[in-house]
Amino acid sequence: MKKSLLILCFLCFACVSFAQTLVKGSVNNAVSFDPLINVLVVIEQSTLSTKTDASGRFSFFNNIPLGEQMLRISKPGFITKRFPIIVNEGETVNISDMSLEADNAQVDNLFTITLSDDELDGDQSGYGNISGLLSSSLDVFQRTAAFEFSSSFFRVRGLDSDNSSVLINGIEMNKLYNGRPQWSNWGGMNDVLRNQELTTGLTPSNYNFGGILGTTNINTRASSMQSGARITYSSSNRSYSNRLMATYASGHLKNGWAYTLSVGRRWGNEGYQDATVYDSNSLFASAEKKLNDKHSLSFTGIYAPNRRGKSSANTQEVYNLKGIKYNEYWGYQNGEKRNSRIKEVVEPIVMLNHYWNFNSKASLNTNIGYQFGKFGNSRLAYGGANLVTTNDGQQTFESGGTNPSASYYQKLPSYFERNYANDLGFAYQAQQAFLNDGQLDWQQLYNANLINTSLGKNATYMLYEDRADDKQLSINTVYKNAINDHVLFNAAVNYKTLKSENFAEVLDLLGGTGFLNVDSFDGVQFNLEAPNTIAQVGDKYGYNYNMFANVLSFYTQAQFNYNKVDYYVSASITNTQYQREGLFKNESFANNSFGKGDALSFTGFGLKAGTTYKITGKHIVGANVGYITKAPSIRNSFSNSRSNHNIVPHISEEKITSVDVSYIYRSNIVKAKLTGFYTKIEDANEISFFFADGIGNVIAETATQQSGNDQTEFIQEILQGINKNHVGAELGVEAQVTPTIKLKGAAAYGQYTYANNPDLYLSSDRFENVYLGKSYLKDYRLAVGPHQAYSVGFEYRDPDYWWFGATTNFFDKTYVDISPLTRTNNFYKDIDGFPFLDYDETLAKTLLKQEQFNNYITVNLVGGKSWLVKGHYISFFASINNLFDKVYKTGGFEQGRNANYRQLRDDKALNKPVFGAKYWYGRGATYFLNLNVRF
Amino acid sequence: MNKINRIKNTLGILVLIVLISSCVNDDDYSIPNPSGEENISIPAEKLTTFRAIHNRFKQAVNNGDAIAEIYEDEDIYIEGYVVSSDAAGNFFKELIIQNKIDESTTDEDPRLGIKVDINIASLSDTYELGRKVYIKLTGLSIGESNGVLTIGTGDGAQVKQIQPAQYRSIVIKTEEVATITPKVAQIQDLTEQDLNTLIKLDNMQLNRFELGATFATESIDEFDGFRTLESCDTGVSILLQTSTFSDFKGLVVPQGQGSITGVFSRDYGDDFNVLIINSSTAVNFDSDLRCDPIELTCGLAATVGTGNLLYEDFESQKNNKPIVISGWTNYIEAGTEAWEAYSSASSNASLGRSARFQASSSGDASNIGWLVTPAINLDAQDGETLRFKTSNSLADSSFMEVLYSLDWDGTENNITSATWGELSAAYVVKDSDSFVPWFNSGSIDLSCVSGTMYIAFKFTGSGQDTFDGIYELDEVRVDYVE
Repeated sequence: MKKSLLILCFLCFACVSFAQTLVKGSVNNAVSFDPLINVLVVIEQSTLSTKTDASGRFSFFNNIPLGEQMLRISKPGFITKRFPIIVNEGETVNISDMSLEADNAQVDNLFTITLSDDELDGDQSGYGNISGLLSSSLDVFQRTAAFEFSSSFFRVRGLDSDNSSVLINGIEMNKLYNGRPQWSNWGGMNDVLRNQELTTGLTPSNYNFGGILGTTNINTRASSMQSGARITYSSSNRSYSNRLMATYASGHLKNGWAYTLSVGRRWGNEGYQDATVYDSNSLFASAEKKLNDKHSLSFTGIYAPNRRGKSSANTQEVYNLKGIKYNEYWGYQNGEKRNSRIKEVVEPIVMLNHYWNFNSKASLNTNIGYQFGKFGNSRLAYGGANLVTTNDGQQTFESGGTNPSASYYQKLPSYFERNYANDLGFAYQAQQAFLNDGQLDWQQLYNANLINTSLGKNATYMLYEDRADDKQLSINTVYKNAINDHVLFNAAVNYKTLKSENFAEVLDLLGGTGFLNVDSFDGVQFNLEAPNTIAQVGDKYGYNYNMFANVLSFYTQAQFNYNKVDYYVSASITNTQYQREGLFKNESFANNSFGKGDALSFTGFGLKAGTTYKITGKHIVGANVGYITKAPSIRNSFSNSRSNHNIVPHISEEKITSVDVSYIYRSNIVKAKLTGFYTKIEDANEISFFFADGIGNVIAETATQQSGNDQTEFIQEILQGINKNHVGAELGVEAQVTPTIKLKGAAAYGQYTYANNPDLYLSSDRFENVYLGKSYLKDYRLAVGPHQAYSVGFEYRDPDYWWFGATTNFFDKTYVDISPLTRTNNFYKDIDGFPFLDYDETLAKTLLKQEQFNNYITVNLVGGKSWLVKGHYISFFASINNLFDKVYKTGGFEQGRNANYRQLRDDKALNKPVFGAKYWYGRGATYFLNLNVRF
Repeated sequence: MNKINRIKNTLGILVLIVLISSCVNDDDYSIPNPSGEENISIPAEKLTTFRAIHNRFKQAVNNGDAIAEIYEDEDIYIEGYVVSSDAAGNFFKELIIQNKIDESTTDEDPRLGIKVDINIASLSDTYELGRKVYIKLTGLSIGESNGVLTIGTGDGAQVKQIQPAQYRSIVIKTEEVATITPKVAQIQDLTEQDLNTLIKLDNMQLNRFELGATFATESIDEFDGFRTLESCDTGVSILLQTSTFSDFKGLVVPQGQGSITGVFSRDYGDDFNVLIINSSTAVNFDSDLRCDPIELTCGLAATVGTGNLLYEDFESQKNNKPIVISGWTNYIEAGTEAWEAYSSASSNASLGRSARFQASSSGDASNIGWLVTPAINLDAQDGETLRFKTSNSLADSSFMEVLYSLDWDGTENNITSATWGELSAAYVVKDSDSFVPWFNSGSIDLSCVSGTMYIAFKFTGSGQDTFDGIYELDEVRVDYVE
């Protein structure tokens, strides 16, 4: 078919009817034969370009180069085509009815988004900054990172996703809590999110200053949606089992309205990991009214409630026994799998956007967005207390309960091997018990609570949810003016205000009658304003506070485009304010927890500039440089926000310096881009909070310790003043070796390290910002996925509308996340403050050596076919990831338990360490099937 | 238009199908019924008695074995009731089980208790106070740990903890939860048979020297806190043992008088009897009235004079014969034993010849003996002091007091009706002290009173194992400043 078209086109060359030199023609949709609007038509090696009109026509009148020329027609979403033409002076070249085929890459995009929202919301929070790469990127490296690297939790340039901005209709959606975009807020509505504008790295965006990983703006204007209806069904064994989506877009209606509706549902009782239930609905509506030629008003509503069961990181011992699908969080209840860790996100978004085109050059876009709802993570509490009053009126708290997890270290074979080395039968029994069951025993929790109920006591076990209920109002206005053909000016003002209600809420008393709102460990009242409250389902428990944030920012930018050289300069200033308001008066911090704390204020500015120089059409070089200071996120500003107003000591703005240099090569066959980058992050803070299981001397010295109960302590580990280096290179190459076969290759070679020795503080409900000195982290590798990733592959596209591809990927230099606590001086000090007498520095070095995971190779396959049936476009594709079921670690972290030399040495000396690092494994072979019908 | 309608209809139907058909159950769970306690009943022929278990252990000991093993082919059970609770952290990884729900006892099946060692924290999640359980004994071992009869696993040498993987199939829960009525007893009547059972002691109080102390957070409390509780009826005392990991360790021991209910047991080292409570509410000292004795408040003297009023080293006495010294009174208030003389060169040596009171193997239900000095005229000189030395040979809860009287007439008939106060400044060997050394009393100042004083060394004990200690006394002297 293509060949015949080409022949047709050549025949057309003869059609000469005007004396003036003229090139004209028209472009149709290859499937529907409808005219295609806005197709970019370029005469290569010239500056001439134009776009087709509503009837698909185009023409060139002036300065047309004579002789053999190449005409290139392209439109986003379609496969670009090139036609050789011969232009003779005074003659007209008329090539009508050129056709463009819809690009299967569009179908690929479905696949990409599937992968991304899947991985982005995974339990390894902070992984996956591939967000920005979703669909619009044409860059082979970016596409490979999204398609092939994401399931290995590869991070572009080793950076966290808080360095990329995600905008919907110009409004930034990154969460103020952690700076990261919350992808599940708009998951499952791929059809309506495909209009995306992507800028990568420091390159300028027309909407905001952006982070150093770039900006993605998702445009949901109903008038920009491709009109028609489509239904998609997908089946997978990755995170959900089924996905169904239906979308209808009206396109422009005669009365000036346009509207789009989309519904979607993703669901499954179990993803790849055991008992990872998935339950998500998506509703989307947008409507736009063109008021007149200059004004347009648009409304968008997004509602995507999402519930999913989380899965655990496990020690190697557990994986060896139970495999990589094992998940400790679930157990059977009345014959059904029940996961205790459910993440539920329900944060609807409504937006009103006003588009005002002053003239063809200048526009003002004003947006108001409001997002509200809940964000919850459930988990089990144990150790519920009872208030006991003795005969002479003294009060105390009695509490029981133990960690109910079946993979709690005290239940695993390693524990018995260590503690009963002479009775290995015990370890064997524990191993058999773990192999045969190894899951939560909900029945046992109910039984214990029912006993309490019969004795008139409170519940010992309880399911609760850590909640962050946000209400965020965003207002911004974005100005754009093409001052002349060469200069584009941008400016924007943004204001955001957030009220975030943070608390734990009782979800299920598991047969009990109530849960005492007292720290069962030491009898500390969580809320002195209402002491000894017995919390019922729906009541708040543990902590309760509001976090307020206000962000006001301004940015301005000028972009200059010339024949040989483009450059830009961009600047921004941002003021960020945080304030905490305690609603519980914590007994441990009675003077520092209730009411409003001091407001924190940060001023950040950004400056960046860059240039692209076209040496020839084939060789282009570019460079960008930027310096940004920005407020730390809420999460990294307050050292123990659940309990008090304390802030991270010596907190300041984070400083980021970034520079990259690229070389781009483009020939008819080969496209390649090589980029070198260097980013330095300074004065960063990181607060990790976790239940430390008896972290040793630190607690012993500063607080009481009870070994009769579990020595669990909710710890905030504060790393302050961290510097990091991110240096490396990226390469992407693709070669269209035949019209049907394309070879692709990509490589990421990076080294991401700590650049200094930051200060380490610990906080908990019993101690505040205890300074442990420097954590000697310099030159340790950052746990940011594989530092090196390589991919080679090919795509075959048959003229009969089927295609397939395969890639082989190689990942290397993935590191465990080290425990900063063991890298402090505390490591070699005995309780008396002197070094351990048996401290052996050589051995210590071995013990503290950072674990590097094995490198590995995965093979992915993808293929599809499309049909035109009675005017309906049907497409199908399937992908298989990790075809050979390769088992590999994607990440992991050292447990904070072995805080000192002796503990670590003794534990590592064991056959099976009791407190070995916990790991995440990548998925084995998985499939994804997708069927799409368009009307 | 038609086409659009058709599309809309199709979409509408699809949406409905999606919403209806794709349920995922992840938050709607019904409350499960309590399980694991179906009405289990073990046939009578498989049940054995606690006494049989106790006897089996004794037999093994007689055969020179450390523990008694129940063989794999013995399909036998015992049934009993849980009387301990780890809910407040005072018991840890153990269940105390007794065979009766009250103080009843029969000859065939006497009231007894056992400890079951299980490597599980939070056992009260499953086995609360009063829960009737069966213990499947097959393959288990019976031994003694920390001085009490204990069931666990084991391999001939010692009893070991039952492990998490197996305990539910060994300690089998029934649906019965009984109300346990403790046995009301006097401390001196408690015997080995009462170990591992729930005991109630009435009219008890904390020893006056420990008033204000917490259950187990004093500086001397290492793993357990020990507080002396004494009976207002008899003056007999017992130690209250509280784990330093218990939830109520920091509470002040109630200071009034009343009852206390706990498990009768032995301390970790099997040296003396203790009472262990399940919860701080087990102490019910609801009366403000205490029963403290009169005390001499002169304290200890800084110096001892060179003049001597009285010196007795018992060298002139005959071994194993009651002490007879002119002017002294050797009075048996109860039982058949008296203060007697002895000498020994063993590790538990006497000081030459010494005096002792030995209740063991007396066969008496109660032994009370007084050894009283001659009258001492405190008006004839100044700066009088008393000194003596004491030692013991396993006191076993029996105790010795050093008393004084200013109104006794010197006749045995009136000895109990006279007013006796305590010379509390004197150090008397304690139940928990080692039996080897002799302890100096210190120089007790007697000079702050006037008149005629008698000083008595009073022993209280019995012939029962748990109360049959031996106290030894020597080198009693009263000096004055010349």
